[in-house]
Amino acid sequence: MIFGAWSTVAAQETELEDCVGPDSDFCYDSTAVFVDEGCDRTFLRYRGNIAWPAILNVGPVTISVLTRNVEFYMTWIPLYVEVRGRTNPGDGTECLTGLGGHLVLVAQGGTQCGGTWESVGPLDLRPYGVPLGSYYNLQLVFFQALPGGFPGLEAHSIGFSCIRVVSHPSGVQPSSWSNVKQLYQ
Amino acid sequence: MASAYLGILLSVRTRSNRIGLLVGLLAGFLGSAAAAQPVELFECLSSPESFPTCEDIGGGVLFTECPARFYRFYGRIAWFPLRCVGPITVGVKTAGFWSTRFPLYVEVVPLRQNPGVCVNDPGYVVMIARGGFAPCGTWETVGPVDITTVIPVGSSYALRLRFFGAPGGDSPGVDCVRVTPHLTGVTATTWGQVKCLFK
Repeated sequence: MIFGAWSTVAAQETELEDCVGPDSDFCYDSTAVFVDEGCDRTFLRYRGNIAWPAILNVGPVTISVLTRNVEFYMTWIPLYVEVRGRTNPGDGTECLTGLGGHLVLVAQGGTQCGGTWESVGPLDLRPYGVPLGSYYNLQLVFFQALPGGFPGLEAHSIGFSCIRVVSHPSGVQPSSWSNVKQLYQ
Repeated sequence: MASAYLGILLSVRTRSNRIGLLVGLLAGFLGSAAAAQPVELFECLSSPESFPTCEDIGGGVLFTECPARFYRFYGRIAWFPLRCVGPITVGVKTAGFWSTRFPLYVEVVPLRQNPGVCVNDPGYVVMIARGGFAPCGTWETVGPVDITTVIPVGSSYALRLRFFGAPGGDSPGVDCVRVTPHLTGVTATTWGQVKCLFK
């Protein structure tokens, strides 16, 4: 689990826009493996998870990832995008990679230069265990197979370049009981 | 060393594993912990005495018309430590249901000094299980798989399953896991034993 200076996204962030590179905001389990840099986009892959500091749920979100598939048939694995509520006391909001989660998107990876955006949303995160007004983790899950007889041809996840979370705040907002009473006074 | 073993001990939930780890703890203090680690694995979650060494989030139990029960999780479960003695055959007994939409990834994970395989250690996929639809489950098996390219003979590793779940869909349920080693001519030994061989 890597903690570092990149965990600087403010705890109250409700949206996210991040790409691989020196200014990226995510933490990761393993070092990156280069995939592609055509069309002015860099794509990397990992083993295990990468994740971002917790995001505040203020309503439905659209989650998008820019991915690239340059692999031969049968050598690629999709990229899994998960959310995980951080609703327990002491969960904190720091960047953590080692959490189980609920799957929201399986990205297959575009084959065209510059990659392909794949999105899901607007997505109400409450059925995924993330109440309005609480924080959640966003993480990507990468895999790599054992090295085989042909180095470099072992199955692995597609390349990742960017992620975007756009929030669509709802009219329903969390409120305290005293606020509700004030409304009706 | 002692704190690492204590960390393992506290994370284990089963009596049999505790006994095994106590043996490992003692052996570790005597300088031969690796030799005390099991080289094979057979566990069924249906058994009341059988639990993974660690797990992320439980995802419920699937009952079938058979005595076996199949368990689902969100995230990872793992069994460790296992000692690598050569190539292995890995099997998982799975059951698919109407809601099974995602595969189950089976990984081997090289263990570090202080294992954290349920949380974040990178692993290597050895099999992607889809889940059979036989009423009493299906064994999905791969092997022999040479894991020594990433886990040297004599060192420790974990078997980890990675589940996916979402409202309306998830990975297959799992009852049993099995790791069968195929012993190679190359085995781990101590320097003292090597010296004995050449006396």
